[in-house]
Amino acid sequence: MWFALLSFLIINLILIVMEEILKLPQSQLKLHIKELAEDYYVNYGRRVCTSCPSDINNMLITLRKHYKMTNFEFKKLNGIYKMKQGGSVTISNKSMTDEIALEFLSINKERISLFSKYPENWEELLDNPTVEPKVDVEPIHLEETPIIQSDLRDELSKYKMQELREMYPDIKATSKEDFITLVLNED
Amino acid sequence: MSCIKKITADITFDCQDKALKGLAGSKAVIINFDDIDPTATTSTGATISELNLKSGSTGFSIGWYKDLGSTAIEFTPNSEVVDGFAHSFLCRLGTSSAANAEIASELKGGRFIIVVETNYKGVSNADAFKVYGFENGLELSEMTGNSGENAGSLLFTLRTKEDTYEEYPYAILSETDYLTTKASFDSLFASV
Repeated sequence: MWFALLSFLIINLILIVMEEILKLPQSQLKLHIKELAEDYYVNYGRRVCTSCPSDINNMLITLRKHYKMTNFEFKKLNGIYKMKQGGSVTISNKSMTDEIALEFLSINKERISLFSKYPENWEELLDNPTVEPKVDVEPIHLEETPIIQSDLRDELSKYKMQELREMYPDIKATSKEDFITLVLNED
Repeated sequence: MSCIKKITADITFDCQDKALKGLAGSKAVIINFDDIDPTATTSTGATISELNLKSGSTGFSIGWYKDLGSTAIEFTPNSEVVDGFAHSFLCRLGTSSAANAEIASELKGGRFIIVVETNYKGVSNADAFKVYGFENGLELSEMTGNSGENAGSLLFTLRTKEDTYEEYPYAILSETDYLTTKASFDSLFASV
């Protein structure tokens, strides 16, 4: 029983630490890339190329989903948008949290068309952010650890061939399908 | 004769502000000339203080490897029209894919402006972002491909159209400060 309790506490501690790290601004987040990469490896069984920007982006997006930090996701996986005209703050899947997404939508509700995933009651959340988000669009399956191959195949399919080549420089293939198959076989 | 101008300031060299070649980040933003919102875009002399696109429009990123993308300018004296500068952007479509064939076709019919971040950023990073083709746009002037050269890539040049000119060798984009301009650049000037 003590062992179970200790395990529960450790898991929760890791959860809190990872969430805190993922909330850090870009400049400080860079200092924790190795910890995040290790956590990503533990959860998904794949080593991240820590010198490849696109691979790091992919890792951050996946970990944010993993820790259920956001119910929002842009259609453009690597898209970046300015929060408001004339400002210096941007929003992307890499930095997405529910709070930031709602701030972005509060400026212009039509921006919802930019999202591929969002809570069903997003308009209600704009008025009252404390309401529980109703998620009915492609729920994230946390229990699937490590990630099943079909999910990973779908995830990798979103990338362009050039981006895949940057993420997996050792893999050679002429078609995207073959490339992804080789990636999955490698893991 | 009001077009004839005089030098109005010293031409100096500052050892603390040395020249630096190259484009930063191996990336540029290409914008359809017609997507620029002229009513919301402001410039004074060679400095653009606001570059805004029409609602719902966005620029597109264009990336390259190492130093395979570059910009160039030249003075174009002309006996028939006003003298000015011609801008060029040289880059390549990396692979002979179907997607790049589509892009090549779009490039040949369009008019664009190009925004880049240079390695040289000037004092307080105020000169980091440059715009090419701001006044008249750039059009495809050359595209070549050879299966046995340049890894089969398609090399292309966007250039100021013949008999048009730009008043300045480049325009500086400076929206308030570096971070604000960088945010616009990273978001591809998307108007959402």
